[in-house]
Amino acid sequence: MSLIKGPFTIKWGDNVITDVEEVNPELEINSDEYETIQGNTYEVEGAYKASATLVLLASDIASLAVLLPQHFVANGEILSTGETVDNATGAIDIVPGQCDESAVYNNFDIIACGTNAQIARIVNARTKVDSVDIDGKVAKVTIKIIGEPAADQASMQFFREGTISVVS
Amino acid sequence: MNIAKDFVDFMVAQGLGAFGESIFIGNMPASTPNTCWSVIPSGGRPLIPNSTGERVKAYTLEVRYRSNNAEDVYDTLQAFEELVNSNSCTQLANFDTIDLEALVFPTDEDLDSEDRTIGLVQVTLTTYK
Repeated sequence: MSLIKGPFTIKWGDNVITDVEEVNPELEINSDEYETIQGNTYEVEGAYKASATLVLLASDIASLAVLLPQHFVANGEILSTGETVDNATGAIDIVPGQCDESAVYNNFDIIACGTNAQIARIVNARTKVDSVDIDGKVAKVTIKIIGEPAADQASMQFFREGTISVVS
Repeated sequence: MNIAKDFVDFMVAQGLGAFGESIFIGNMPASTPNTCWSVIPSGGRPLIPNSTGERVKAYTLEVRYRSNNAEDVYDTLQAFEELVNSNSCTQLANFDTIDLEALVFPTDEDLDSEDRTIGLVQVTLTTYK
C-alpha cells in the first residue's frame, strides 16, 4: 500500500499542462433504486461519466491554446467578430462550435511523482471552458475535461506508468 | 538571482540611490553615509502549492532608511510606502511578481548615532515560480 503523491504531471494527449493550481477529477455513476413489494431495495447502476476540472493559474494565450484547440485562432486568421489576428501568439475566440465541427479528443492523464508512477486516466476526453475568474490580482481559467469513451471502453483507468502495452 | 538584489535594482530604477553607495543589502555601515537604505531579505513561504508543483510564495524584505534629518526619514518612508503600495504593475527582473505590499513602522533613534533617525518598512513580495 502506498500513497499516490504529487506534484502531478498532467497531460492531455502529448501536451503537458503546467501551472495547474487545482485538479478535481470526478467519476459519476448514475443509479436508480427499485423497491420490491417484499421490502427489498435494489440499486441498479446506469451510465458512467468521468470528468475533471483544472484551475489554470497561467491563463496566457499559449497555455489556453494547448487545451482549447477548438477556440485557438492562429496569427493571420480571422476572429469570429471579423478582426484579423496580428501576433505570433494568436488569439482565443470562444465561440460555440458549428454543427459540422468535430471535437478534439485525447486521453487525460494525471501522473503521480516518482518512478513508474501511477496514472489516473480519463479516457478519450474533450475540453471546454468552465469559468473565468479574477482571484485578487491573478486571472484564473477553469477548464473542464469531459471523458467520452467509446461504448465498450472504460471511462476511467488507473495503472502504473510503462506497464501497459500500446494499442496497435 | 536574488530577491534582495532584484528589489535593490527596483529601488535604483526609482531613483532612491545607488547600490553599494547609498543602498546596501544586509547591515548598513555603522558610520557613513548618514543617509542610506538597507534591504534584508527573508521568506520564501509557499502560499499556494499547485497540483503541478509550482508555488505562489511570499518573501519579506526589511527595508531600513536612516538620516540625520528626522523629517526626511518620515517623508522618505511615507513616499516609499506610497511607491510600493501603488497601483502600478511592478515586476522584478527575475521573479514573476504578483503583488508588492508595504507596512511602515515607527521611526526611532539610531543606536549607532544618537543624531540619526532610522525607520523601517516591511515589504511583502508575492511571487510565482
